[in-house]
Amino acid sequence: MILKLLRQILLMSKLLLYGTFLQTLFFTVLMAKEGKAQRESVHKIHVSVTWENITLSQAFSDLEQKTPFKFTYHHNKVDDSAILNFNSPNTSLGKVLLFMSENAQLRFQRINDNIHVGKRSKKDKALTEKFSEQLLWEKEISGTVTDENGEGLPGVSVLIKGTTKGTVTDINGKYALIVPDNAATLVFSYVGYLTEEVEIAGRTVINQKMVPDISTLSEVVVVGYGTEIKRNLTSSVATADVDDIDEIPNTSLSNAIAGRVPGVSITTAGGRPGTTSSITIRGASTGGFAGSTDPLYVIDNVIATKELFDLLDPNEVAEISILKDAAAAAIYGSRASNGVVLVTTKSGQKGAPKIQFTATVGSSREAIRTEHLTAYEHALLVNQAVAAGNNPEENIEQSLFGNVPISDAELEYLRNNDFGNFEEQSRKAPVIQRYALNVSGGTENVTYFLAGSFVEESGNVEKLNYDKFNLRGKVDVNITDDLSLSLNTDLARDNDFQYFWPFDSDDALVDSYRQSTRRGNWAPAFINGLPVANFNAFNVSGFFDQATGGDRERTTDVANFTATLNYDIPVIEGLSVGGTFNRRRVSNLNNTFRTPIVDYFFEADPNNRFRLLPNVVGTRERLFGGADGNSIERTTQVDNSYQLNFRVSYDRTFNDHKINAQFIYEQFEFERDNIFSRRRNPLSRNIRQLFATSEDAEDIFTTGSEAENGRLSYIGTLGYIFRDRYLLNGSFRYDGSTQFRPGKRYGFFPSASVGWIISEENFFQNVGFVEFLKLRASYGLTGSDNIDGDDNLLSSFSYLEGFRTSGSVVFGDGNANNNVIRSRGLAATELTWDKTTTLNLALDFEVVNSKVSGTIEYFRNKRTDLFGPRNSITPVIIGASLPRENYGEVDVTGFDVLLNYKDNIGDLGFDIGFNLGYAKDKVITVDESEDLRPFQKQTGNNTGRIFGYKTKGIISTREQLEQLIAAGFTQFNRDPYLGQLLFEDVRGNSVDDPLGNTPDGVVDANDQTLIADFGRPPVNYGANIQLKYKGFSLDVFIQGFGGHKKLVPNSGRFAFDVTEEGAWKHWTDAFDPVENPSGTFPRWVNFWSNAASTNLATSEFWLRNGGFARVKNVNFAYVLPRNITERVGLGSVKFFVNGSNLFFLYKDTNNFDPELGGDGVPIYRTYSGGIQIML
Amino acid sequence: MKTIFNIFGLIALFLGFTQCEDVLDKTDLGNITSDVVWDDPVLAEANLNRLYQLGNPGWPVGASASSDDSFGTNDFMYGRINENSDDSYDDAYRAIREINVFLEGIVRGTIDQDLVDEMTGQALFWRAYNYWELVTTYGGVPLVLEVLTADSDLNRPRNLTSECVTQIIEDLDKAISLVPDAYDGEDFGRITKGIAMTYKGRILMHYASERFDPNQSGSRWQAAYDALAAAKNNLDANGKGLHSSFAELWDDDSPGNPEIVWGRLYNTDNNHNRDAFVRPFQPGFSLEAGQIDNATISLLESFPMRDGKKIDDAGSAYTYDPVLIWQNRDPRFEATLVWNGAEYPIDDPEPFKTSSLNWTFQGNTTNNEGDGAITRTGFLTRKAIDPGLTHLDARESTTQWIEIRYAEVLLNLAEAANEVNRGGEALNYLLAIRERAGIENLDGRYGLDAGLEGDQDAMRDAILLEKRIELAFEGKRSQDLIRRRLIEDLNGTERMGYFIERTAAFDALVTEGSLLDDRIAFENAVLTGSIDLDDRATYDTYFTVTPYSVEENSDVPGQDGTDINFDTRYYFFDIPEAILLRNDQLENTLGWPGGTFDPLL
Repeated sequence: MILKLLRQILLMSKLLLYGTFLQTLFFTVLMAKEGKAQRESVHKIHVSVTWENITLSQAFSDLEQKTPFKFTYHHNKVDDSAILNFNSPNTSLGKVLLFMSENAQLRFQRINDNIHVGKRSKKDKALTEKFSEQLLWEKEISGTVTDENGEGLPGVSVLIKGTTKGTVTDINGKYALIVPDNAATLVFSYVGYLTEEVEIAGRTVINQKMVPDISTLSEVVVVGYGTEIKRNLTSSVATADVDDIDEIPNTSLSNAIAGRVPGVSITTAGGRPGTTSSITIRGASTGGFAGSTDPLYVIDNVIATKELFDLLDPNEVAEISILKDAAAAAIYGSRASNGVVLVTTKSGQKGAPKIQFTATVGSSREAIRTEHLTAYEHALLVNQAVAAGNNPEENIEQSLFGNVPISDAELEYLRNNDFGNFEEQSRKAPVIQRYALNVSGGTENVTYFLAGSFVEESGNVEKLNYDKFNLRGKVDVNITDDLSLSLNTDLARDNDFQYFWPFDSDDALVDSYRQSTRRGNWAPAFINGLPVANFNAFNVSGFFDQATGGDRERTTDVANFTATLNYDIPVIEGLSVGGTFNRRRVSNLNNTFRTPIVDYFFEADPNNRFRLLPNVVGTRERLFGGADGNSIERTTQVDNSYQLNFRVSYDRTFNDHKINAQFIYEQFEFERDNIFSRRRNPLSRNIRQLFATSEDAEDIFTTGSEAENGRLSYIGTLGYIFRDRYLLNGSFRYDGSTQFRPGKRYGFFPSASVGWIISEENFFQNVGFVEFLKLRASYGLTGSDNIDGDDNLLSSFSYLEGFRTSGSVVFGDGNANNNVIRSRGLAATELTWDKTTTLNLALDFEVVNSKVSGTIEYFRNKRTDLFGPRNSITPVIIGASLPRENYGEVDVTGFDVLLNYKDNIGDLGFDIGFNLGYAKDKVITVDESEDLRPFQKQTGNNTGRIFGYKTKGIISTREQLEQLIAAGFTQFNRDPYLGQLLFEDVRGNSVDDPLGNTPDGVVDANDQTLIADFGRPPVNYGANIQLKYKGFSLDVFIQGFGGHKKLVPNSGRFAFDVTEEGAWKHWTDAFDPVENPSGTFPRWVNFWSNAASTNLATSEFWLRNGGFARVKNVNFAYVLPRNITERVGLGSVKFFVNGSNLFFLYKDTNNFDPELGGDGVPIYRTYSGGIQIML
Repeated sequence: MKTIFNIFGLIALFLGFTQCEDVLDKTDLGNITSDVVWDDPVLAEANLNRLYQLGNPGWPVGASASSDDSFGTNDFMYGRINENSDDSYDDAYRAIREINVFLEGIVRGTIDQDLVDEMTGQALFWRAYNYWELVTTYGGVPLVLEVLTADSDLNRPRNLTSECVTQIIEDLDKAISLVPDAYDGEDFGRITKGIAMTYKGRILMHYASERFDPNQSGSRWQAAYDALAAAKNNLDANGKGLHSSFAELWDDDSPGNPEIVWGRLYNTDNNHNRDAFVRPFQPGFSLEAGQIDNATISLLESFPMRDGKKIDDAGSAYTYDPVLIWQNRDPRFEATLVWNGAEYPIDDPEPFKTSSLNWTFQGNTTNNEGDGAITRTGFLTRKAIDPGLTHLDARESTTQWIEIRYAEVLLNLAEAANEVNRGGEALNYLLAIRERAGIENLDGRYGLDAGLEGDQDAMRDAILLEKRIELAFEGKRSQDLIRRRLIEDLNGTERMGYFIERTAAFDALVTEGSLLDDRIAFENAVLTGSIDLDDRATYDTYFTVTPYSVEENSDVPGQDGTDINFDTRYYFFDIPEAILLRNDQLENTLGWPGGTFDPLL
């Protein structure tokens, strides 16, 4: 681990060196400017002066040598002719300066280490007699800032009002600040506390106690291309609670914020290391049309991808905002239909370097472990099935395999010799560990932030590992008072390593997990270290094994460099120009090593075929994928892109009017280069290099592809606030995309929103308990050009006709491959954006001294012009899929509710929140024939409905069976049998039963009908409880979904397909006329037989309530008292323990996790603990 | 003033960076644009190759299950196919569109006319092929001979079956006039005149048969005969003929193999898995193996004796033994089939392969796996199986598929000749086939009945029987049964196989030890000659052979399986509802729900 870490650091440090070269330069400047004398008054700095007839400039250079100060003055304004004589071995600098002021008619103004020299005015002269010292225009104010408990509060910003000059309190809450003479007021501000303005009133010591700010109205929320305080928001923006996500180890950011964003559905895909979560905002739906329901991801104002979002480490994330309505999202125009997820990374804060280190280690196991049959239970059921098959009376097709019953002796052996399934035989405890370090600090003009992190998660078996490494360097520089520059460089690298199982789709490991949990109980996975072939078509353990199986590895490297320049134009107040340039490179390296798998047949005891003897009688060598089954594959894909924007903005307040406006030009270009290479027959499995393989021409294969696209956008925003209570915002984006042909490329996406803060009105002042009440409404248009589903980066050029390559055919003497190209079909020349019109109405309030706050929102997203081919109403003879057109229409309506209660009882502070989101879609226009029977129509219905058979229980008595047969009842053209699921005969075929409501006496495919309205949850909800007591804190996040049904996953519905393959535990209650006549599960029959198809089919029998509430995270932390940590020289030390996916408050599914489909590696429950140290 | 100037400078700098519209000026790097294809012979040929990729028939794995030749429980045989089950309609029209795109495109470019003609001929052949596939499934379908667009009139009714056949023949005739007699070696496998002519003959023969003409009222056989006779002339002139060896004709996939009229070649990248299905089952490997092409007793009995006489013909020089059924049979029996104890040196791994002998008795493996999967009828097929392939390579076999071999042309011509009262000619073709098969010619007629050429009905039966034997497991039997409406005659019957069990004497060979030990001891005895399985009494000592039904629900002797129940609706299938819904002019096929379209017109 350590070696790997070091290697990663070395590799990435090299890259970081290039990326932060400029930044390093600025650090040097920064260090040089930090002087010791900064906070010392000139009266406390002593010098020895021996001046005899020297000029003013000689005097300055003498002082510059003896003190840390630099003198700056204008030659035209300062009379250098004065001759000075001053002699003192030890005098204060203040006295020297006063002497100079008297003799050369000067005044001095000190700013940190600079002393500006000016000419004395007449007014100054008058002052001289009384306050001669003020000629120096220097005054030090110091003090301590404390929190509500009287503890020193570090990091508080202390500013001289009306300027950008100020300082930050140190770790003890102390500050000292040199203020100019005319300064009147200090402003103390700190996140989470009310900002205080304090008049100086001649004082030199000002201690300030900060009051916690219960109201969140002044929180700054990141919105598209800017920020807004929450009070003034007129659009729907949710923010993720990212406070402690640093402490709970996660491999992806989407996992880390699950349950922490009100009204946003974030569901985990499973427990495989490196798995991410999917994020859906407000039930986004394409109603079955092309396109994606994924939101747009924007990181630091640069449009990114979900992959890049997940690569971020929580340690570098400052804010996550979710833009939910069009008023918020339309500024991202063409890609904002499904909402926008905005991430802002952390920046440096002024002050001494702050170092924070967090280390977490945890381990996990399945949140819900699916129970499977034991070897003995399994064998009993096999015998029942064999008996049924061998009994012609039963009318059950014989299973082709295993028609020899398991003997009593064998049963007894299995009862006492359960080896556990292969997963259990191979499992190890997954471990997750994470280390994060960040440093930030800065001076007046330069701040910096540096962060590095490493997270690693191992899986439930060998050869399953994920790790991620992040580095970020950020520097913000005020080059002059008006010109600022921000440089942001980040490097991320993740590595995903897994065993290679040929039947798994790329990531989910569905099949190997299923195979490994269902097989193996009858035999050990290994005997004498050799994988066992007996009883197993597939001994998965051999694939998990380091030594024998193949593997697959993906490495992604991301390098991002962003420079942002801002210039406040001095001549016009409030006007500024700026620009952002981002350059990004994402490279993906995939290696797949495939190798033949060998396992061994062991001799079986002649009297007990389950008892294996240790001698090998044969081997089984298998190759999956033909000649490619012994090969090395390597794919290199490099994406290069840049985003550039140029911005003019205007922000100013005139009396009661606040105006801000922005105009932005943005362009983006992307190119991808992909090379795939495969060589067969490696010389040795120990050398995983392409070169070390067979040189035969037929063993070498390579291909590649390239792609490019671009975007061009013009963006405008306008905000207007009148009297702090009437809010008006508008924005537009005019977007061009290469997805569509010239002429169809541009889309215009405007939005407008209004807000009215009723509580500001005079007539409302009498309503005592309501502190804040705001009504807001928004309306706007967003779009989507995502015609390709997931990979929105690649333009499909579907507007062009053409040909593409398509494998080969064989001709000729030498059986040679001949190239094939095929027509791409009809071009979608008329395709353009799909559009979403969003209406959002909301009420925000704060009551009871702002302790209770909340938001209620209603929305209606009308999605029109969805892409789809009008195939189902076009005759098939056209011979091609019709080009996609913009015609589909889907409405999504719903509401969000957010409530929060924040207060404290003595030292106990608490913050309790609850949120609820409801969204339902409805298909308005879809491509379907008018001749469809009513029950088949989608129009007017929501998507995600579940169709299947209605069940009427199990055929459990002979009488019932005989009655059915006598009535001529069949299921799928076959006579029913005892123990079979009985389906309801709902209707006949379309010709005889055009309305679809007349039973025809038999059950067949016509009888499939609606069995559940929602297959996806229409409701998501969450709760967070945060308690603080002195140094202790407890955070609990609860996430829930509801209103939908869930089908028992396929692996739970399988009985068995071959005798050695087990099944879920619930089959122990399988019906059997002799052994279990009251069984509640259908009879155990061969899965491949037609008899089983009724049991397997989607039916009410397998339907469960999908709702659940899950305790997603619990984090308990303790901060050591400061007096202890100070003694060992640390700023603060925090210990924490936490758990993820701990338990369910409510669920209705048995034996599988309702958050998942149920197949694949289940979601893990993780316990971890760690420490966070700040210096 | 200077500041304002700076601002404009800054703006200019940014705009200089930005290329505005160039940002959207992108090229489709992943595709080949339409215009270049038709001017470039290489690209045009690559697109022509696509038509082969779409259509070229390959190994019909498992097709024999839909006939009386092999075990195979399927809904087709049991009359359980529901409406909407056959959805090849959509795919065929997709192929036809690609063909029409090619036909319309190839004449637009600048490619040399000779080459255009040659390629056009091949494309026309594929259009005929795809329409014939539709017609044999549904009867007449809408004829689309141009590239349709969304603006075209797409609501077309079905053309009559006869109109479709006329169009198919027209395309084939055009193809015949355009494609060459043969290609250079590197283009071997492309459509030649000979292929197009024999295929045309096969279609006309099919169209003349009872399926399309139940009452045999039409006079379609003459056209079939003419076409097949012309095809034979072309083939003969181009060096085609019968391969010298029935058993080895599959091993040679070069242009020099005279038997290949229309073949499909395979290689490492374009392979098939037929071998894996047909080879013996190996416990722990592939559950599919050993289940395909298990010969029924009916097929086994249809092979004649070594002298060409039927097994029950008292005039035969040989006596048929219903247990040692491989003895003294037509050499094609051994070349096609593998029985219990047959020499079959297939490359399979230990422990289940212990010698070059093959076992098909029940429970011959060491554990409970695979019982019943070994073969359902006691027989396996070795035709065109390469025993040298390892079990790993068997999933990616490169053995060629011969869609039309010369023997089929002779048999088709014989069938057509018999129908147009040329019985003598038909007899000659049968004799040629039997001669090549290696049948002993004891009577100058290779065992064929005397006077056969004068009895049209007997001759018809003899030809269909010869086809069944010669072309066994080549997917032709089910086609013949449907074509001549013979498949319905199987209704109420059950396909039978042999249930072979070892006796106590077998188990007693080794007193201590596993079944495997018994088997190895037995094998050694057979190989050293101390046990002679060709001796009936010895065989009976170690095995019992019981005929039993191999239909669904029957697994051991004495059980009553599901009867064959072919539904005559399957002669022409329904057009799936989803397709009907998209075209209000489309009638469904007669006999199916709402069907009004008569496919016999």
